[in-house]
Amino acid sequence: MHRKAAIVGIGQTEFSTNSGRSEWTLALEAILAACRDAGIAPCEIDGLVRYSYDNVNPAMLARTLGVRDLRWYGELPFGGIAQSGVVAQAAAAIAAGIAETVIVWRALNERSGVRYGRAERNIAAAGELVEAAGDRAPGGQFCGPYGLLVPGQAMALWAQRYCFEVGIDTGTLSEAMCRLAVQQRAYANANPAAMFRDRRLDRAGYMAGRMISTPLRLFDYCLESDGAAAMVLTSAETARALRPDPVYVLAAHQGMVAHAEPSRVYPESLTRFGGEGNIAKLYADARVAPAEIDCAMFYDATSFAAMVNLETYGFVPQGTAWRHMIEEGIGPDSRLPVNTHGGHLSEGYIHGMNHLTEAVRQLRGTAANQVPGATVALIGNNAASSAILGR
Amino acid sequence: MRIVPKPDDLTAPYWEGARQGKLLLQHCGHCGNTWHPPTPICNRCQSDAIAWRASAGRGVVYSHTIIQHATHVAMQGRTPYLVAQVELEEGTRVVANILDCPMEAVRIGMPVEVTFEEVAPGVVLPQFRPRRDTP
Repeated sequence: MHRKAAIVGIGQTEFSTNSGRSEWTLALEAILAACRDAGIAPCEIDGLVRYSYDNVNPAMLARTLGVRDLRWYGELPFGGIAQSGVVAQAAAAIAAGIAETVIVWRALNERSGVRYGRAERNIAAAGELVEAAGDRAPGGQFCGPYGLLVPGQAMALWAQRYCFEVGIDTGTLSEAMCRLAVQQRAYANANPAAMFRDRRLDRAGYMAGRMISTPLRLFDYCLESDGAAAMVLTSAETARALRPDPVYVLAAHQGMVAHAEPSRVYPESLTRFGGEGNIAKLYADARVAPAEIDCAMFYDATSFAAMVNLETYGFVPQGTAWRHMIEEGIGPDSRLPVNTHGGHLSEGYIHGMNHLTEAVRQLRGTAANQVPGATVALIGNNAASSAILGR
Repeated sequence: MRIVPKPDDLTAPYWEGARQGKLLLQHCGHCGNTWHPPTPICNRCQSDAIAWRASAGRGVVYSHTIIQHATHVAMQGRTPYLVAQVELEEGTRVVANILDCPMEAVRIGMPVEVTFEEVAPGVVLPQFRPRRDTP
């Protein structure tokens, strides 16, 4: 699959707390913008890959985009897990010759509609006794009755365990997470598309954030947003004919270890991510080493989850991401700038599709916080899905 | 409002056991594995020779968090509360609250033992409290 498919179009709506329009409308806006960016007509689309959480389905898009002949449509389960998985499925279909022009997208009214930080999404809120069903972790029958309800609480369990395993106190961990949250806000402040472009955050502001789920504070958590983003992928040959700066899929993977879905509660480790050998295979498939990655977009439902990606993808040794954050950080002058758009913490929360569009901008040289000469970018969600893109 | 478990075909024995004051775990008669949450076959050797067996109910706190922000209307007014994962001597982990202990005193590695809490008529949750045979 190496360099067989390329991203030739990106599009996104504004990110807001209330879009004032349907998710179908948002999806179409982002997809049509991506088609314009790619220089293709929407009727040329012959493949679609969606997040299963998305309320917009292939039938709705086939009906509205003038698609002539849809040859491939697929979907990935859950939310953030799907992030680079949709790229993997689209690129695989193109490399196999099944489809030629594939759209991936994510559209959601996450703030004005169904909020993923709330548990009413899975446990109804009517009556004196409300039932938690299934073994969903968190939120199912073995977690919900105890009040372990949403991923952001499971990630607090990860963070507490991490402190124990690496031998630091939670105050030290907070200093590390603070560096990440403050830097991502600084990136957002220079990004006109970011929801928090006008809101500053410094160390004092971070530390003043109320505790949500110890040891995680308010600014360790992602935003809630309405919005959509989309990308057009096509074959390498077509890509070169369409534009001078296609962004190639060097490698894209999906991954699942036992009990990782939708958010880790029962896996063997709460602090080490990725199946045996999967990350080595990702780099081998991409034909690059971690040192060759110019910038990374890490899935940041929480600052902690974002930070440990540094370990997952081998940028620092296991158990040292906290020290890397304190001593070096993820700023423009660091070895590895991360989430240069502001990420979910400060740009907008649309299940990682905005991390993919930001990686494409970095590789085109058009990002608001451009990493000079960036040619290879990694997009990662602690090995649940991963992509390496390159010029 | 109170969040209660909804037993299903796979998990009904677990909740019936809790009603009888037992923490039941699935045990594999073929390879000796013990695990949670329940599955249709052994998750280590794939044998279907599995049975429910009572846990000794002893373990240590594996991780914990004090939740100060309610994420469901049922938890409104119940914050702050502590959620822990307990690593059982049988080698598997369960989620629980730690009873009979100030939240601030809960530590990873703390020895705990099972206890049972009736949260609604006929609805019993396995819970944990500091182990009494340790000071």
